[in-house]
Amino acid sequence: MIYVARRAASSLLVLLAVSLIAFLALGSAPGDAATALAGDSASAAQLADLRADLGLDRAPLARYGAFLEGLVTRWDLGSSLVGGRPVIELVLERLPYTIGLALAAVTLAAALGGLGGTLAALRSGTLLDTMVMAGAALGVAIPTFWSGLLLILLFSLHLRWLPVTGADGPAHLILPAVTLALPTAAAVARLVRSGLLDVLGTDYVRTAHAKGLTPHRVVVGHVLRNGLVPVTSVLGLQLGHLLGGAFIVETIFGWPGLGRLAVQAIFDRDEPVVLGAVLVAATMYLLVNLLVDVAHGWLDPRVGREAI
Amino acid sequence: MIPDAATQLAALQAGEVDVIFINNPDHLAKLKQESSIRLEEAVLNSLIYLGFNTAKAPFDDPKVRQALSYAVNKDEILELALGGVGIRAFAPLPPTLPGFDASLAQHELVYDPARAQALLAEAGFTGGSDAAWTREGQALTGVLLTSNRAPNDAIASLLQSQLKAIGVPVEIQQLDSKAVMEATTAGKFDLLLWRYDWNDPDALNIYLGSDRVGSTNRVAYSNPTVDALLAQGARELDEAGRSGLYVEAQKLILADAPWQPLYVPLDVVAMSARVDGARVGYMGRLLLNDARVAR
Repeated sequence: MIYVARRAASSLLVLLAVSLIAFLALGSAPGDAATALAGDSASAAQLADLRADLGLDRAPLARYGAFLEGLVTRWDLGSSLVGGRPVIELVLERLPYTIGLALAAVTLAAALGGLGGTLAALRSGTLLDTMVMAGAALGVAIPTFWSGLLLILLFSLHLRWLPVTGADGPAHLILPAVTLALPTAAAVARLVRSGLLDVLGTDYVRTAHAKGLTPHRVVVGHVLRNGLVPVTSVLGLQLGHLLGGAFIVETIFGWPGLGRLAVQAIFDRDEPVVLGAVLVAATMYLLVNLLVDVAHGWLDPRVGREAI
Repeated sequence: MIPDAATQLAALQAGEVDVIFINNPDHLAKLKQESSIRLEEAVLNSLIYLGFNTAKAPFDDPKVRQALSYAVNKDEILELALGGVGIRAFAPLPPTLPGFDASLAQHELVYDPARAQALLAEAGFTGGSDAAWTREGQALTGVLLTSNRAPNDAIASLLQSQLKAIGVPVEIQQLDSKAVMEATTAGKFDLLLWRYDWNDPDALNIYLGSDRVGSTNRVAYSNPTVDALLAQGARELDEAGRSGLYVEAQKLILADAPWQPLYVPLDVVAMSARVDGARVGYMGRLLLNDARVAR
């Protein structure tokens, strides 16, 4: 409990720093929401009027202070400068899609990568091992915008098995999740393989075999649990990263997630939306990190005791 | 909403959407072969141009602007960057707006690299061919600013090679639109690849009027005679009279060369065969008032 409380306190400081950095970074970009809204033909006077309407004529620190005050006292992230809608509404609209896609991608990556890495480790040095590792190398090297379009070409246009775009049901989730999962599955497969190979060579595994345990019992009961500790970190990091949105995949598949909301807000210089999306993403990242640390503690009790 | 052009194309081919805008010449070539897809073109009230910062040396010299304009091969740009989708422009107004007149073609600074180099020599520059042009110890070079909107990168590359061919090296700087607008308002550029979209010939006042220098007149062009003609045109109710005023203004603008008009864009819309009656308006909006979709 003390550990969790300490983590919560330091997380608040991290969130404050993240929001300030995001605010300063957006402020340093040329142009503002008034330029984005008014377009190319607005006169200087029209732009000045619009800036006053949007509150952009206030000093940057005053704007940031007002944002923080709204967040702390009213849980209010403000309203979009471009559309006028409350930021919390915009974020909550997109959040389920982002969470759904992230969970699907990480689950798929864990299953594919875990299976592939385990098979490669148990059949180390064979053709199967070579093929799995070659596949992993490809998975890491191929960019998601390319693999996504290839999957659309194959499964949507040629085979007509899956829809191209949309977010109305499970069928729409498959291609974006597979696209996002592939690079992570490749990384997981390589990690699992090297982790299991390390564990397979240890004395306690040889002892387990000598005691007459079946290979299945040895792998499941002893090898996997110890070999998977680094994998939880990778999966946790990836989940945290994806919970902030996956802009490229969301763009390719038209998936209405947080990534596109945040990037479009950056293009529009929509301060409140950028801050809101960044804060939500950072919060989820910190939560996932906390869960990963707890999982580490369960997988390896030595880590759990040190942390507390 | 489907932001990616390749995904839009795939969605149309899969029958998940019925209408998409086409911006990629390769996609257009592919769709022309599909019998289930109909293509419609619309000329826009827009102009893509190469602008010069007339407030900054050496682009404040009309001869330099004219010389660089003569170096531009618009046909090459239309073919290589746009796949032929566009209308070669010779006037500051597109053909869809009052004030456009075919006779303005005789005032166009048509591609002529030899004339370009002769004008630079007349402007007091020495060098050219393998050596950079210089005047009073200053080399003739510059930064071509544009946005990262397609197909600007292809057009900018072609302009860069065309200017280099007459001995004027140019560096390309691509920023997002807001950053370009801010930079041009502050006069921090040399050459500008940009566009305007407006549905009235008063566009010339908005983008080239003296009272708009420092805001929408990004090239800082100022000609009191042009201003007077544009002000009169804004008040004139008789259509023929109004057109005449804008034609006179455009002759002066073409002579001063703050812009080299490049092309008028076409919007191409691809529609599935079951859609009937949809069309594209002059401002690039899809008009569905009379549209019907067969089941």
